[in-house]
Amino acid sequence: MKHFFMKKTVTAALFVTLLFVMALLNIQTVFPSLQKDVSDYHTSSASEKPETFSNLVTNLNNTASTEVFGKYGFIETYGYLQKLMDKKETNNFEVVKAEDGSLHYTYFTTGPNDVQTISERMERLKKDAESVGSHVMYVMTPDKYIEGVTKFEKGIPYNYANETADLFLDEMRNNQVDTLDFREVMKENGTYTQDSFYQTDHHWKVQTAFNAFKSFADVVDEKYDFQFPNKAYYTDINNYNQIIYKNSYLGSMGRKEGILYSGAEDFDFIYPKFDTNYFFYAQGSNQAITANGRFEQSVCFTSMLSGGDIYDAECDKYFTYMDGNPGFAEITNFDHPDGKKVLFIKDSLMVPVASFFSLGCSKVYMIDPRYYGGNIQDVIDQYHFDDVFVSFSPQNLTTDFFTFYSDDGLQAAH
Amino acid sequence: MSFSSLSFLFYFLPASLLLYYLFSFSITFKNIILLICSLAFYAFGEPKNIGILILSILVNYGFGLLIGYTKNPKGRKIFFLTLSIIFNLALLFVFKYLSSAVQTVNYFMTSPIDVGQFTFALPIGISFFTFQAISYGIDVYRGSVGVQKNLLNFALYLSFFPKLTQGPITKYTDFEPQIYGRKETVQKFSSGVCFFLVGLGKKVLLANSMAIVADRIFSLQQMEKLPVGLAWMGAIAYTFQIYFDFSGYSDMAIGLGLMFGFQLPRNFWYPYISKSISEFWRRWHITLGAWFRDYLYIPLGGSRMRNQDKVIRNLAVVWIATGIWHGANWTFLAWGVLNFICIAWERVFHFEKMNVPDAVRHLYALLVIVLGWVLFRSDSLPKAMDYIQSMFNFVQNGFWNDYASMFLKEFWVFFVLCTVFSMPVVGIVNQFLAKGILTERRISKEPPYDEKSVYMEVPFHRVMEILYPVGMILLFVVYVSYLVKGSYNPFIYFQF
Repeated sequence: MKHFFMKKTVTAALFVTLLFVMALLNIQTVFPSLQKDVSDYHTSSASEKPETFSNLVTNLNNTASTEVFGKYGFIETYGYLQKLMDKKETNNFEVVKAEDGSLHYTYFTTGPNDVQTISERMERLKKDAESVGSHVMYVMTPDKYIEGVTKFEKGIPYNYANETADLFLDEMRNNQVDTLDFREVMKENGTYTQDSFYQTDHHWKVQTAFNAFKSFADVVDEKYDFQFPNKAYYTDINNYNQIIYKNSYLGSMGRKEGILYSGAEDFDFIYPKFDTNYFFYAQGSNQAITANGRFEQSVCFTSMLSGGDIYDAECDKYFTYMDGNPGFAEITNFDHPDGKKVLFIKDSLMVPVASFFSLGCSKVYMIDPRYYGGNIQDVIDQYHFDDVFVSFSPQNLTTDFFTFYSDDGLQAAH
Repeated sequence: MSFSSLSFLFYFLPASLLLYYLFSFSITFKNIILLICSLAFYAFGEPKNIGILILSILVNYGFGLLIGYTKNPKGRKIFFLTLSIIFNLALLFVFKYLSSAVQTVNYFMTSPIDVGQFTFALPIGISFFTFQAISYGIDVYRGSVGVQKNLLNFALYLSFFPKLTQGPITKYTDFEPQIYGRKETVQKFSSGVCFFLVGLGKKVLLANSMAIVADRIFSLQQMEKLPVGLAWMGAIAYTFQIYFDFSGYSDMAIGLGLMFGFQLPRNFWYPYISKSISEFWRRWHITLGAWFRDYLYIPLGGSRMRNQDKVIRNLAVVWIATGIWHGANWTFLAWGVLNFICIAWERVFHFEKMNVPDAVRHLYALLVIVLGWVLFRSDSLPKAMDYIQSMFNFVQNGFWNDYASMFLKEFWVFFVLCTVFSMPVVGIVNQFLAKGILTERRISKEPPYDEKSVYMEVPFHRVMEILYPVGMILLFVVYVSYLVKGSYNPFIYFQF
């Protein structure tokens, strides 16, 4: 019996020591954020205090739960255990691993989503934009799940994103909205393979996006007589520098599970060798950003490439182009002042494509409906764009992205 | 605040331990520290509802004084006790049952009442601290305990944070002597830490993993027909989830209590090895069963009545009350009735004394338990019936599908661990390691025939002694990694 308690006593001593050491290290880690939460409470007005106190408690709890000393070590431990158990689902089926090791977002469903509401909104946008003289095209970027190529283990849920995209494109064609389906383009080129996407992220690789830019320039030239300047030169990869950052990238899904589970991968950064001259303006949720100079100095935020924390979402290298997803961005290309003025209403897949596409435009405007506070209808009516491109990837065909031309929005606009 | 949250583990627990043991020179200070910690614990989880807890403390303390100090006539004592019970039940009714009651009334009304006006956020743990308050009032009335004159001591009884939100429901008679008479020892503290770590593991690794399977399969039921195998897998996953969730919490509560020198009652004793439903309820949520026995069943006459019909009536009242205690949903009532039916027939036919093979008894008990949990888990009775139908409908739904294979492949480790830890394997191994191998047993030939046993130390005993603490700490690191990943979800019994 003596032995029985001895081992428990040693356990207790180790536990208490670990608990206090972790407590001290965590206090040190979390202190700046806690200070901010508390000072927010102090600066709130007397009438707001009770509500703010409740928020303060919630914030303190959240901060204490998310800012943990050695957080990524714990995430790696978790990931390693999942790997040991050969688990293909993690995070309660938010992320699943395909047989080739690539990670995919998914959810349980029995068929494609209903696309009626978003189709109607898109149709309204088309009518409105055309009434002010803009061409409208829906550009479908590819889903990482490739039919016949991507293989999930038996029973791993599939979200029917491609089938939803097919339904939506059918609706677009029925409503006479021009479409471009990059899935088809890539199939024709033989590039619709898993290698075109990052293993640990849902985005396509920058190299793939560059290829998409080439096809896109061809399509708009053919369809809208876009007259993309110096197209042969601008779409030739030999006129670009390519820098490969070896084992330096963890995408959004990889960051959730850690390197031991997902594996770090290479990131390729592509930018023009030739001279360029830009002005970039972006309005995020809190602040405006401006930059000017060459493509890689203004349209690209190369600070994201120089080290940084591989686990930190703020340093996601994919967001090197246009700083990711600001609510509103305006890119002015001084080399082609007489070029076309276009608007992209888009999600993150279109960002590198639009960055390269800006080489042939005078102005490119970008709106991400998730973060844009204004009314998209007003922008379309006032700016008189030559072309309006709407582009959301198959998984984003939801009303969260198609916020424009909703019944509520129309009432607000009128 | 939840025991399985990082803010509890890395901030609240070290701070409360530090403060408590800093003031170890004075029991009064230690009690004050515990009271402050308990109120802070509640306020951090439910800042808006701390007032309800304080109101309950003050009112029940006042009623305790009135009941305790009223000598004559007896009727006045009963009057105050009745008022105290009405107050506590009213508190429970307003927060837990009022909106459902209004909904039921609306069913018969031509112009319905706005239910939103009568819906209040349920203060966490209200069912637990209210029942403890009622038991205090009754015990003072019966004279089985003295009235607590010190408000702080009474407040500590009702709000002691390890048992505040999910029990174990502790009777005042068991708690009161410990307010001043408890003693912290290294042995107690060490056992407390081990209890706590075991409980944390049950919750974070086992219950949360089983929750994923159960939640997914129960929600799949809304989308498509469940094959029999998958339906059973979901039901079994929930059976494991609720056990490891609630018993995990209870273990943590007992462990925390021991760290502060308190001994809280055991709430679970391997319920899934039961061979009857009566036995199951002697092993499951033991303190709730004891409460209903002491404060409802026995006052109604209990089992000692000559008229068997009245015994059955008493059982019906207790089990309907047990069902309703869990919430204002027909599913809980149906679950209570199911338990009543099984316990009543076991009693009438003396099932526990029948000559039935243990395996059959065990299968019967498990079948009722699992079906009961399906009722308990479902949102409504029709959904529960649909689910139960899926568990037996081989003809239309088939037996197996890809989802079933996938859940089994992804979670087999947790299913195996849950099965093993549902049985008293660890206890047996621990005893074996502590005692050693029996090598000789001598019984003296002379009265009083003393028995003497000789044990040999288990091989690798020393290695085990080193491995145990290292293993426990490594497991703690694993728990934290799951918590950092955000695989936290609230305890099932928080909603009660």
